[in-house]
Amino acid sequence: MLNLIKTEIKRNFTGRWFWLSVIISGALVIWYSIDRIPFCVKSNLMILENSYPDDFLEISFTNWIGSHNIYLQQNIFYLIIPFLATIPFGKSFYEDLNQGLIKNICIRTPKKNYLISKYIVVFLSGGCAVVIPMIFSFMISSAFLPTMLPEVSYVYTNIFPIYKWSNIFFENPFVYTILYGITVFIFSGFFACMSLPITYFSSKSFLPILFPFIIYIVSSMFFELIDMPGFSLRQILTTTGEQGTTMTVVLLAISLGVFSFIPFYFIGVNNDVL
Amino acid sequence: MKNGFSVIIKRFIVEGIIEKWKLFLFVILLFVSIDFIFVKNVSNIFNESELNVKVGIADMFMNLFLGNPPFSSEENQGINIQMIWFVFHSLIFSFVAYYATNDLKNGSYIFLIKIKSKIMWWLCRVLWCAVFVLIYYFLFFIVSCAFACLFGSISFTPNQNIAGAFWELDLTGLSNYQFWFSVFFLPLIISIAISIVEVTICLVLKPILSLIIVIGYIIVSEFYSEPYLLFNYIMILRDNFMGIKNINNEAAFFIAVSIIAFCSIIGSTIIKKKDMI
Amino acid sequence: MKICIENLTKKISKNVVLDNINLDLFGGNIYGFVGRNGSGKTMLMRAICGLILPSQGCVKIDDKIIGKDMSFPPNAGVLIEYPGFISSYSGFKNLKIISSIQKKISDEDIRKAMIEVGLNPDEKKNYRKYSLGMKQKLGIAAAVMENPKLLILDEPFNALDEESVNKVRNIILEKSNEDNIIIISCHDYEEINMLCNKIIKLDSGKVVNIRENFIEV
Repeated sequence: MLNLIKTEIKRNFTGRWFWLSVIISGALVIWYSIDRIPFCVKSNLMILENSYPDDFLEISFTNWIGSHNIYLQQNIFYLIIPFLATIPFGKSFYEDLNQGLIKNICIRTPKKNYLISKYIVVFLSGGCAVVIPMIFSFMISSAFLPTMLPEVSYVYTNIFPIYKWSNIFFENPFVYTILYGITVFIFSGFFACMSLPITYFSSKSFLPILFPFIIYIVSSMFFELIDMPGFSLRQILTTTGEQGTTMTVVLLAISLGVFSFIPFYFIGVNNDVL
Repeated sequence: MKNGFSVIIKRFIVEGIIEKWKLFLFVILLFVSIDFIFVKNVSNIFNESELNVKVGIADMFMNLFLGNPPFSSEENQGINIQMIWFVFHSLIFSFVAYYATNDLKNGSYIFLIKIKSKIMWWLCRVLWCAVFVLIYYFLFFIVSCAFACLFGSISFTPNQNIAGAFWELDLTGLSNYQFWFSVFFLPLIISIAISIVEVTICLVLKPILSLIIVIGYIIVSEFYSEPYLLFNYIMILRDNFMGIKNINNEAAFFIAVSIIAFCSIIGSTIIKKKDMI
Repeated sequence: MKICIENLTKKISKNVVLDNINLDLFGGNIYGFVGRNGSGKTMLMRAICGLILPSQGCVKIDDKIIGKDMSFPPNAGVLIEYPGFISSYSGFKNLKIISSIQKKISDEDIRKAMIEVGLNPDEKKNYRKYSLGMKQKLGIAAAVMENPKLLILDEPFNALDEESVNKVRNIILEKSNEDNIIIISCHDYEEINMLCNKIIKLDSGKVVNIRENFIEV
């Protein structure tokens, strides 16, 4: 199984779709950086020269693509996360089924090994495709803006005490950033994995890529409508999502994992390889 | 020529709409949930009130096409995109992209060779987009009518009590024509225009990239109130008929029709030079 | 009917798939395209039907240029790779829809074409449930049913049983007359020798050999 995982990883990370996804999110990161960072640098210089009324510096922790969901580029990024996660390797299972590669694999190794390794690699590829540009964005903002503790009384951090993990943000913003990075990695991985079970029912390659996005927006809409925004995926993933607790994050992650893995594995194991 | 046109459009409708009945079933369920929750919220708010407020068809359309007020970057507040509005439009363009160029890849050259015209295929595709969007909007209309019959009133005039309580809107002086132009006709024609733009882009790029571009365009429209960002015209909270000082939505119809004509011509030019592999 | 292929070159993503092809095809002949996999047989067929446009050169059918004077040949029946039919319709219904475009043939002709290839026209099964061989037969029926002047069949014997191969062979021989051009490609040289009176060999997108094949009656 380890060999299978290595082969799939190589197939994914050397494929053009992974890099296309990274390029799209990279373009958003660069656009955000060009839009936002010069303004922050200028505002910091004015503060240091004592000519700006607000005495709080713009810091790197509040000016990278994952810091909020306020600006245009951040909005686009957070809404297309399912696409960014699924494009790299989401339709690989569809291709394996339709082009017959699965037959070659299943005569050489037990089917469950193939299914588990496929799931692991799709998860990793989805997570990496989204988080790599986020790391890149944080590095850019750290290169130009001070990396220091945020000021609680500065409203433009847009992280208020009622938001989840806000105490971590004000005490140890680096851990907060890593925590959100891990959250986005896990959820992106599960979004990518949502494309796997739907493949069994899909006659077109587009549907496995579309399905996670539809689940994302429809479930977010539904939970916000019934006044349970703590379970809205859109709110969970963003730092400025007012609702959500550690418990809802964990529950949602487990639900996504279960709903993506169990049908994929059990249908795959029980189905004939046609 | 006429036979070929009717055969191709019939094929598109069968493959792109009738065979996709499960997608439409999902869409109907979604609309039912949206309307159900709205009706429940209205009854919760007005339950103890002396006013006998019943949700009409117009109110359900208002709920759907509300959108966000014009964005101001100076306030540094950001936008919380109204998810119903976003989901409604994203689904149209997702489904359009889903079917967009599949038949070219699926060995449907037989039909092309029989009709002997790539341009006719393209024009049928444009017409299919219009029919698909119309059916989508019509489904919402049907679901809203059903809810209005069962739980509300069949009213085509928006209820000021609901508009005031939910969205702080003053609808005095708003005529029925202006209202339905803003919440049905204009969104319909703009959705048709953008779906045709999307299908035109699909001729050149992969459908998934075309969909990402359209979604990006929707989100950019949230942030900028410019005449060329057509989704501004589909948000009631940015509608100049509602007394909000924003871009003029009467020009939107002409912009949308121009876009349809322009994309039809551009698409014809592209499809003539496209290889059918 | 006459097809002139002049200096035809086709590049796809910097790969030259057809390289300066010059060919004249005349009515009354059955042409066989032979060559190893990737030699350009299917691409050449696509170019003749107008499905792809040449990067250089042109394809003329009766002095009209494909892609300029007309998008597709005026009277062609084509089977290239797997044809796409409406999956929720039966075979007969699919052929009926296609025939309703030009309205040249009746339901009886459709039924006859299906029976000739070995399909049951009264079969209610949807195209989605057809086997590979049945799909191939339906594609052949769609190509031949309207008695086209230009018939292009790319590997028509794929997935067919022996009886069906005989039937398709007879159909091809029947459709050959003074006016018609029939082009087939096949990896089975025995079939090519049996059917074709001119054999064109392609390699790496070029025509390397054209030879007459005298068929024993």
